[in-house]
Amino acid sequence: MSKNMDTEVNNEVYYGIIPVFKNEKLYNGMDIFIILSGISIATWCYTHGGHLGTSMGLAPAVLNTFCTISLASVFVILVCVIATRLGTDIWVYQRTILGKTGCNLFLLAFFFATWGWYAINAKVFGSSMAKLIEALGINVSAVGETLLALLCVALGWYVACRGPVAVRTTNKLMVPCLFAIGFILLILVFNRWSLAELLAMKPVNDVGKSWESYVLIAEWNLAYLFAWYPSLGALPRLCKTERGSYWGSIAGFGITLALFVCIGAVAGLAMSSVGIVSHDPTDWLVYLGGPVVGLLSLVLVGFANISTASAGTYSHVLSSKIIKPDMKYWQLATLWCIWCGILVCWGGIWDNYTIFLAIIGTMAAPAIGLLVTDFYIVRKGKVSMKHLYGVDDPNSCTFTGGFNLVGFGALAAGIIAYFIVYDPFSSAARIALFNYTTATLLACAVSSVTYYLLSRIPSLRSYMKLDTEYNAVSPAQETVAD
Amino acid sequence: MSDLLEGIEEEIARRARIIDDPSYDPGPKLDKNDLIGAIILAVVCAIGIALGYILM
Repeated sequence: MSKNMDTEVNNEVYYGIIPVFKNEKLYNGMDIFIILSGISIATWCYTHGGHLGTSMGLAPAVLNTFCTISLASVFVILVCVIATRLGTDIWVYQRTILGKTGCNLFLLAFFFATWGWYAINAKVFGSSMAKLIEALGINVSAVGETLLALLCVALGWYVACRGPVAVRTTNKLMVPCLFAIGFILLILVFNRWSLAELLAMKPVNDVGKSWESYVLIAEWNLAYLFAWYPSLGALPRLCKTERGSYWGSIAGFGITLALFVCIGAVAGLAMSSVGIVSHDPTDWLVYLGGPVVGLLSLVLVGFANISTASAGTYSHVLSSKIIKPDMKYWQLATLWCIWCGILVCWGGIWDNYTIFLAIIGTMAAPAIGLLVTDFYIVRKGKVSMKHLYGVDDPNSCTFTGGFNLVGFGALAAGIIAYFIVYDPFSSAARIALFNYTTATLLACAVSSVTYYLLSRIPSLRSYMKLDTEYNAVSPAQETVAD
Repeated sequence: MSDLLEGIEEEIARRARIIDDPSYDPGPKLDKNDLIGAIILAVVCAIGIALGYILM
């Protein structure tokens, strides 16, 4: 290979699907915490929190949100550890669960929906920048605000194309802005209302004070956490240790995310009490902060949204490289960002937030259940990289026409279970079982158990190649290049 | 097949063989202390969820 080709191939370690050796990993636990915080505590925390704050009183909303998300993260983040241990993205791993073609199709279906998060992120960026410009006396039209939102998408593309080091640097600079926004909001809210007043406030869209209502809120929170499923591999695979990956990811994707959703709930509840029923944190900041603090906060929101867009773009583009590994990273990034731009221009994600959340949760929960069950229980943590990548046997993950029918069967079982117990379009339980399991956890459990039971059937074990794919080789000298 | 794809596949094959070798060390795994930490976090959160319902 020519030197240029060598360089291009080596770049695919960080811009593609080539597995990462231990000595090539870039991130420690603190790094992964900062970067995942940059993705997770973006303005959609305030969108989600604002929605919750108008649905339930403060104390139950905060405790439900913080504890449900943190508790669920103990399980969900096990997926990150898979990526860290193998040095590859979970989307490569899922070839063995869904089949090579099945995995590609599932990825496409999921990612087309997932970019909705970044459309929301961009919309808030556009909103904050428009308000800043209007403060200077220049009117910004709806079209202008959309163009500003598209600027966020473009800036995220730009940073992502610079690679994982640029993503880390950007997030190290911007994540403090994210934290600052949250604390400024809290200070502004508590400056105006006492804790007693906040605890006594009635939510404007009260879902009620029953156990059923409480579980419904938990369902929304679980769906919100599980929806991060597509992002759980690309960045943690670059983490040096499993402990750093696990706890850094719990801290970033779980606890910090939960904390900022709670801040959104507090602000959303408080603002609704003065007639501002909005999930847009820029509305809150301008109202509460006045001209100076409010505008400064808008600047922070703007910067923070760029860091979110960059980390999310890098992660999603990298994962989707499994479909066409030799496609240039920037080309794939451009295609996805164009799709994100289309969603921004449409604006429908913002208006149909709970349905969007439910669609993602429907698919994510069973998929996470399959991942954890397959790696930790069925395969007991032993996976052949040659099998995953089709080395020596290009048909290792072909199964039936590229689809692992066992994996898809278990996935379908989980999705069916979800819809049996819950109607995501009306946000209502269909049967009483929902009130004990939630739809998300039930879907996850049904998929997991179905997959495990099917893997115990000898003929299906053979179909899934469980007993043949991992062949221990004789001990050899380690030949990892430094 | 493009040269880049061929190069990628060759590099993947080389790395996969190294990583599959039992002598390859991917780094320390999660251990009992991590399990204890996870259980503690889970119990605290479960108590918090119950408390949230009581305070409704």
